[in-house]
Amino acid sequence: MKPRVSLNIVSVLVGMAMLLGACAPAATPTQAANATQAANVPQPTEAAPAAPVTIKVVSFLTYDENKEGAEAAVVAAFQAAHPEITVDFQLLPYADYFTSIKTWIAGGTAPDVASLDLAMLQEMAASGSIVDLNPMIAADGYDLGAYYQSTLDMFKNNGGQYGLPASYSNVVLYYNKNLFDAAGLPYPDANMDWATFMSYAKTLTKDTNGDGTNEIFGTSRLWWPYYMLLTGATPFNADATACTLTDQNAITGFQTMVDLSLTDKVAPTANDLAAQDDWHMFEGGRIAMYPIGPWSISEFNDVIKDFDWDATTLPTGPTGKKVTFLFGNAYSVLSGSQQQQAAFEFLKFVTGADGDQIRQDAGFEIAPIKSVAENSFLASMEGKKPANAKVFLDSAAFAVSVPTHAHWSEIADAISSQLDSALLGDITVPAAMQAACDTINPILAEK
Amino acid sequence: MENTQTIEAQSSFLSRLKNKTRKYFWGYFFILPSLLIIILFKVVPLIIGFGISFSDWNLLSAPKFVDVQNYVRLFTDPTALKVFGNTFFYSAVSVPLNLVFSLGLALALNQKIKGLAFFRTAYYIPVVAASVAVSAIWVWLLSNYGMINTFLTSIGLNPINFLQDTKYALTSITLVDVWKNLGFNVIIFLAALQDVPEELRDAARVDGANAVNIFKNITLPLISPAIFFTAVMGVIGSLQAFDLVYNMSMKHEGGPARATSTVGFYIWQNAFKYSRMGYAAALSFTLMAILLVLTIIQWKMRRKWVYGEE
Amino acid sequence: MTTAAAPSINHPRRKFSAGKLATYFFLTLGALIMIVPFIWMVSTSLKSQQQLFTWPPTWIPNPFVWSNYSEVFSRINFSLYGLNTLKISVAVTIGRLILCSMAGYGFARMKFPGKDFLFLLILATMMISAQVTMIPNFVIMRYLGLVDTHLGVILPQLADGFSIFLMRQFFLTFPFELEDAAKLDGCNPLMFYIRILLPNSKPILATLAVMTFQGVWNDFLWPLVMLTSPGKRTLAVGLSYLVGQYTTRWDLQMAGSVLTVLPILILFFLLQKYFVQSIKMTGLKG
Repeated sequence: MKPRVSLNIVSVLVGMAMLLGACAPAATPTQAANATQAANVPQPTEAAPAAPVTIKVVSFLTYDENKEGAEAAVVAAFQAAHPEITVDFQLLPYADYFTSIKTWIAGGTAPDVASLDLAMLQEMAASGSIVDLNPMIAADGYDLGAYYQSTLDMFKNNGGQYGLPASYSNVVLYYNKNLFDAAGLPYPDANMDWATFMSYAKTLTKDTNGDGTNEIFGTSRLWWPYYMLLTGATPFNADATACTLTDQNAITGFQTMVDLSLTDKVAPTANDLAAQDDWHMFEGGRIAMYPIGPWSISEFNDVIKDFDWDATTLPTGPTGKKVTFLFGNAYSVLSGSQQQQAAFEFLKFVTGADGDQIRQDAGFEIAPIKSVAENSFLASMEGKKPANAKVFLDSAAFAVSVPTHAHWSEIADAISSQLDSALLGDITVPAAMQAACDTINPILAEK
Repeated sequence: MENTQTIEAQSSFLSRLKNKTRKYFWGYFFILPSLLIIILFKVVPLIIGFGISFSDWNLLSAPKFVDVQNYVRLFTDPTALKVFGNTFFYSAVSVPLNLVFSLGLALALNQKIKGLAFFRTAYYIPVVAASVAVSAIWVWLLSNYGMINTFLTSIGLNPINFLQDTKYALTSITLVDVWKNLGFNVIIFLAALQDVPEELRDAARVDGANAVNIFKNITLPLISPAIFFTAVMGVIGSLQAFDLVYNMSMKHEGGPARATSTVGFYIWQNAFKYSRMGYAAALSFTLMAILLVLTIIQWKMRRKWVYGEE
Repeated sequence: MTTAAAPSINHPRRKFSAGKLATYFFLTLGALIMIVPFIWMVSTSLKSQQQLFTWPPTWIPNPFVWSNYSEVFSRINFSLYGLNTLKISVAVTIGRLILCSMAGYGFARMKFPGKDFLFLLILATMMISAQVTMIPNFVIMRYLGLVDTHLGVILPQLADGFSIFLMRQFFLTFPFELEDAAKLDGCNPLMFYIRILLPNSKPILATLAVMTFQGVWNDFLWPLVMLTSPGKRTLAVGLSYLVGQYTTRWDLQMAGSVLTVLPILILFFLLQKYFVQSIKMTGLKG
């Protein structure tokens, strides 16, 4: 008797929760759920809208607040070219952006278009909250060949194209020429292999004041996914049913990472980084070879005056593979949007050559449109360091993004927390991977 | 005769009723505006949140009813166990420390001190400064070359890795919490001390009582409602601690190997980062149940501890 | 500590007793611990980007980059956001002072059925995590048509368990004699509340005012999801624009944080005189 009563109350409460979200004039969670099934069915494409329509766009791109960044200029250019579509544009801070979007979707005031970074996009694609653009691309005959293929690939999920890339970054290797000169070493180049990289790093790591700790480091550690990509390891198998971190290549990759700080001691430890992070260490001439992306260009050019520096590609890894990180931001159309065709027009413009040009000139990341990147990016780098700016474009060829999952945040946190312990020397890498898999396998089993 | 008696009886009943209504009227009159706001904006969401705790919801699509799975998960999730443990430690350390220091400070500041305004402001500044900025400063101060370690090395000790070492991280953040919230209770106690009439104290002094007696028999009972308040609020606040953990862990990951993750932080992670709003709600209600029990215990004891309770 | 006999009214206090000196010493030491991080914040706010987080660390910026402050003003629409935040904070503070002191008085002195239950219910509302109630609250606001309005931000904050609880505790110690005298004079509770209770409760009211103002002034998440029009945003949200996708401008962030703290400190200073007040036990009038 009693359990049934409480069960009824509970279902009423959940029903209330669903109702509150569902009874909405605008985009609703239940509509989004229906969209999951409808995702592969092409949306009825209206002819170019005759009556004026309004689309709501939110974006965190180019965070220069009061000047609204370059993005406002992009939107203004779009409005000029498409007077029949009115854009209600809101530039939001990157901090807690995803929290806001989730609140608005759950609360029924979702926008039509949103900029998303890689992790956000994959999560929304997996839950059906954003639209697969392939049908609209096909119907429109839009040429995707203008984009770098890798920038398109990272926003794919199960074959569907869930966003068009607006900007991207990859990671290259900056090097401090003065430190190399002082050590009598040749500058690193694009052909550097792992053994050479490590030998340079060891030579360049120095204890300059004889206090027993290193002040200058040969290199610094990249974010942990790099070391997984470097050896071709993945966190889980192809159909995401089992954790593969205990495989040999994953262990080799992470062991390499841990060794950099603990065994070979060529990279600062967590302890060292707490005093001064590696970004400021490089600025202060304390790191010889620093892996970082193009978002550093503006500040480094302003701040670094004491030494000369340039860039090259990341070295080939210990197993012969050459990779670099690929990050990027895309624009997507939300499933609940009532103006998907107009939204798609917006996407084409702002991620196409017109939009990219404006954004590239403002200098944030790199345009994913080949022509814009090759012309404007390099032109904008005239007179700036690194002189070898072409390395950013060259690296796109072997840039990979991290495989994602609907619960990627949780999986990544599980891995990084175990790696934290390994980096402190509290557990071995194999033990860390086993512990990570113990947490991850139940998560994978959920789907 | 009977009629007049009945009429008298009736009218006295009516007038008693009127008196009671009038008495109750005032009570409800004073609490109604607040009650309305709280019911609409706190109680209703609370009830909805309870419903959500029985669902699996990633916020991007409709919630799915999953019965008591979230609560079952809570009892088998090793992270949940760890964060509850962290949180109890956090509370057990910060509440007493805060109470003792803030009461002591308030008593010290309640005398005729020069520069009282300056001291009061100085002690309140940490409360007022934004969590984000304060956390960044403390991360730096506690780092290898920050002030604290510089002092330690200068007297010959080894530097301590306060925030990265699992042994010290939680204690460090707990102490920063005490630092940040001390001023809060100081100004409450200062206000409470104003209600201790100077005449009573002077009279006691004339009778020969010393400072300790005065404190024990006059001051303490009269400020006991304030102490009760800060104790209850301290427990409620510290068990939900979130801000400092969020801002002081480098990538918002909750400390090395989750050493500093509190329940409040784990709730945020599940709600907005891990797409498990249902589980977050379940965690929240479990915490609330614990808080309710603790608060009800304190509430029942109030007549013993607090002066002036009816 | 002091072993000297308690001074009588006629005996002048000795100014520099050992106890007093010790008190001053510990108070100053404590105050330093409290404000040193804030001093560091100010120092960072005046540094150039080269000097940020240098190693070994420098306390005094060289040169002093005052332009960080003007840059914050131009990057973030500081005056507009400041005005918005001021409007919201003042509205909530005044509203909460009135509503919660009324409720505090009701719970402290009145008798009515359901009193204990209602009070515990109000306390219970403080025990639920804001992350969980935020979305239901947002949906309620949508139904009320108050999304993207300042009123929508203000309304849910007009009363909260903390303030009611605080006022109740303080009104418990209010002298019964004053209340009885008022009743004898024929005062109804409302007149008593306005004419006698409130004027004699200035310290706690001033304290609550500062605490409320400070909480609302620094509030981030609720204004973030509620206010989407650029012209309506608040300071805390505006400052968060300085945290970028990959990097953060700490010099500007600190400058912004220092600027944000100042209004609250000014309010605190202005209210100082209300913090001290003794209840008048003698010379009662009706």
